[in-house]
Amino acid sequence: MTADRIEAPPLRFAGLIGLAAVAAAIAAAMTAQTLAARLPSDLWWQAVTAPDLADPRQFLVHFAVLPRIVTCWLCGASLALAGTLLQQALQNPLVEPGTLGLSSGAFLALTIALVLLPDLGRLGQEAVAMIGSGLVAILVFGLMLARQLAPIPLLLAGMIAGMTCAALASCALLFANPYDTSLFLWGAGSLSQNDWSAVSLLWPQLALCAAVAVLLARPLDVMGLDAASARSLGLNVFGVRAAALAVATVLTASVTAAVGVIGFVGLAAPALAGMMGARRFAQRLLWAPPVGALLLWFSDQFVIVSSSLDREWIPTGAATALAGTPLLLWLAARSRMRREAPRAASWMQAARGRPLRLVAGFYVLLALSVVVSLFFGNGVHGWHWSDTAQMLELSPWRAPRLFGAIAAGAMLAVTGVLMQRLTGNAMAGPEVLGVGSGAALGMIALAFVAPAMSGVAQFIASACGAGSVLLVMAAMSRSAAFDPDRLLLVGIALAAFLNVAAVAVMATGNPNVVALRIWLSGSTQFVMRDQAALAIGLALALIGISLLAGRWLELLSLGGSTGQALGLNIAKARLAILLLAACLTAAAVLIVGPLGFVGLMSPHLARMAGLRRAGAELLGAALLGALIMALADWAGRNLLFPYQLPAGLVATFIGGPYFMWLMRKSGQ
Amino acid sequence: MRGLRSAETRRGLRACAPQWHRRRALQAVGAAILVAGSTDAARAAESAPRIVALNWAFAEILLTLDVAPIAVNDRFAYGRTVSWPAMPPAVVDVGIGGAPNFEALHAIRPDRILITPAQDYLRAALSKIAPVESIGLFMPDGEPYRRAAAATLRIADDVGARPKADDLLAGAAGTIDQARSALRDYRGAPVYLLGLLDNRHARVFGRRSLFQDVLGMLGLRNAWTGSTNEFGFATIGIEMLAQEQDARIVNILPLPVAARSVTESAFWRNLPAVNRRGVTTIGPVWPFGGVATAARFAGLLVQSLSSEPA
Repeated sequence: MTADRIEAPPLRFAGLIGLAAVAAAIAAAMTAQTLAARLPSDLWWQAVTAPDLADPRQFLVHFAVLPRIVTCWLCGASLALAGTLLQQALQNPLVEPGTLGLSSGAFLALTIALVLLPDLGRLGQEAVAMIGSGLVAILVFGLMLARQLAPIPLLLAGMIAGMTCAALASCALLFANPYDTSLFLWGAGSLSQNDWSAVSLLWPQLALCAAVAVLLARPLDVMGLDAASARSLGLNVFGVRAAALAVATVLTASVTAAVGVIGFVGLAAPALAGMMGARRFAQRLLWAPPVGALLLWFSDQFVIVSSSLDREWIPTGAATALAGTPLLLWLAARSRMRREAPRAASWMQAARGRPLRLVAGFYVLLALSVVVSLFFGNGVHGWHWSDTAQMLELSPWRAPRLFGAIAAGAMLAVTGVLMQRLTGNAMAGPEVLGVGSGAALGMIALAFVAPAMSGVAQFIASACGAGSVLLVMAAMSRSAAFDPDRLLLVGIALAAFLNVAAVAVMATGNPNVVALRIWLSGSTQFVMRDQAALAIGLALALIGISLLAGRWLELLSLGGSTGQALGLNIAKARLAILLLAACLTAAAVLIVGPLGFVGLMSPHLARMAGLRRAGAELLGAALLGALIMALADWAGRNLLFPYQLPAGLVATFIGGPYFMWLMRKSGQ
Repeated sequence: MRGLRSAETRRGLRACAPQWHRRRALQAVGAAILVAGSTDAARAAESAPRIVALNWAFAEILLTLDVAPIAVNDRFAYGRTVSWPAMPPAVVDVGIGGAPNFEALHAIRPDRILITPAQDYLRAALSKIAPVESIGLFMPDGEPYRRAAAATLRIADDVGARPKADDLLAGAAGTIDQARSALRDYRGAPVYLLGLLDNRHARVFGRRSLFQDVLGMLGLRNAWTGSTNEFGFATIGIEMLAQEQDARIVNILPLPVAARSVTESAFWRNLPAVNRRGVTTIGPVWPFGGVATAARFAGLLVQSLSSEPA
């Protein structure tokens, strides 16, 4: 696989180091200000070493302020170390503990444990987190053993596992005591402390893992070569990878158990360290943890200082993206990325003969699922098949959401096909591009401005949001002429940033956002008849246009230079496809919120079924996406009657395990 | 339960609403005379209008008026969280309050659905099932006790139980007056009204909360003077409680699973409020309830505080 290391020209080195020093100085100044507000400076040393517990100011500083700062440093360093190890072991700069599902696995295990074993102590929680994180790691890596832990399939499996765990955990939160926000708070990554227990558990684990990482430094450095060369040098590639991943698992579990899910630090810190000039792995291993600590410290202090004295306006776990994302985007825009070799192999495999039969088969399945969904279901009196009269009576509540889900599923699937062929990266999907999040933010902005929304206004707002994100991405990527990996990096960063902004907006408690929260979770319950009709119409129109672009898609997937040699205007084609993807995403997001999973999965399923040509893949993926969402809508409506699972969550449950199993068996 | 009234009868009944209300009121009075004090569920269900409460405060109001709602939201969590007043087993569960199950609502054929302004986005869909009434208890300009009293009267008019409502309100005011005189000699510290969330965070109730209205009526001072949201609480880190050194902490149950171990931690034991004055635990009592809950809260507060030295 390619080794995309983000390289900065040497002249930047001094500038970026200076930037880091400035950030550290600012963080220190903010800390000093917080401390000074509570305690005069001559008492600081006493508060640290031998606090007078009768003095509440010293008590606060010793038990609350200082542990929080030290926890920040330890968590930041742990996540950065884990991220560095993962990125080197998997040779991909976009990997982090979150991407591989390790944080989500730990979080899910802790959520379940809190419900079933409420009397678990701190050590017990650490153990549970490690079990959860380890189980996800074993599941992902065990399934991918058949593929020799190749980077992209592993990443995909990890992402899917992470999304499944997050969906399961949010289900538990949805149905737990609806007024109990404790799990939500902790899951959002709050660093608030009231004793030194978290620190006492974090630092031994960090020290141990750092020691093991140092031992692994040399072998992992050799991993920078491709696998064949590394093996020829006598390296046990699998063993070293497994060891690095185990260490990362332990680090992630310890952080999640202590403070919840904190995102982005594991992704940003190694990248920033690399941009600052730490090119060799050993250098990154040395510099990434301090950079991670600094990043988290800065974010936490920013949150504290900018909050009122009463409460924080956003959990720190979400604030890390606010601090890290603009910086990363800025640095990514200015540094050069090594061009990738064309990765056309998977799309060039022989296509199955008679694709139309397969597509027709998918269509029949979809029609069957529509019939079952409308006639069969759970009710106040139990499961029953309705007769025609009953079905017509219930159809105002069943049909619009079903057809809305189908339309959204088809549109997301087609977006996935477009993006995966455009970027040549199997990880691409609407959510990854940030377009889905942009559309969602447009909707949220509209909800604040004009609470009474009409369908057309919603679509315009959604499309404006998606279009703005698209413009920003295009502007940032212009210098590299839409290099696929840079597009992906920018897209992921933007998605993280916009999700954080959405969380902050939701935290204001404006009553309008209650409905939005349900919609953002992927619920189809509130789709009205005219919305469903609009969605179907849009889906048919936009998918039709996509089919027309089939030739472009074929050529683009051959890689930049080959396509150009065959007469394709690369920039124009890419722009047109991006615009199409944005419209599709905006329309789908309008119906079911920013789901990315179907868009990621359906193209893969279509290819696995044997549809390789662009047109057949588009049709097949659209039908499969529609089928998955139809089943998800039905299951969400009926399984836990009267409680409703959002269709987006159910799609993740259906798709995740099945997809991971398929990944194991066949090639891409 | 579905076949008791045909569609035409229901439409006819709704059309002649004033006469219908009067007839129902007379029936209620007559029934009360004949079956003094009885709350026979089957008979009450037949004669009382079928009301769906999509908020636990409305369910509380209905139950204290001796009219059981035919359906309520989050029935599954009610026992764990609120538990008073007890919900009869025949009440149907229609899902979470933010996203009630429309098919279930349609199947039970209600006469009226009660929602809060925060659920206004449901109005369009719910109107297809039954007339929707929106009553706000926790609004930006506060005064939830007064609003809850007005809501009690309004709902009582809907079900024809106005005399019972008047009794209820008078009783609550009486309970709170008694509590106030019981606490007249309490020259103690201001109180923190705390709902623990987990080991590090808590909900503290202040301005615009139901409990604050009760504190005001009892003549007690709330130690939390910071900002609150429109439901009257703020989510804070526990370390904020160290600010007010002379306060007493009143811990309101239920205790979430994540907060079980907080009371053993060194931090908690060394908080000035805990150290000097100790912690009182009351409840479980629902912070977002109505007048009856407020009166019950006053009673519980008196029990716990009046036994402490000033």
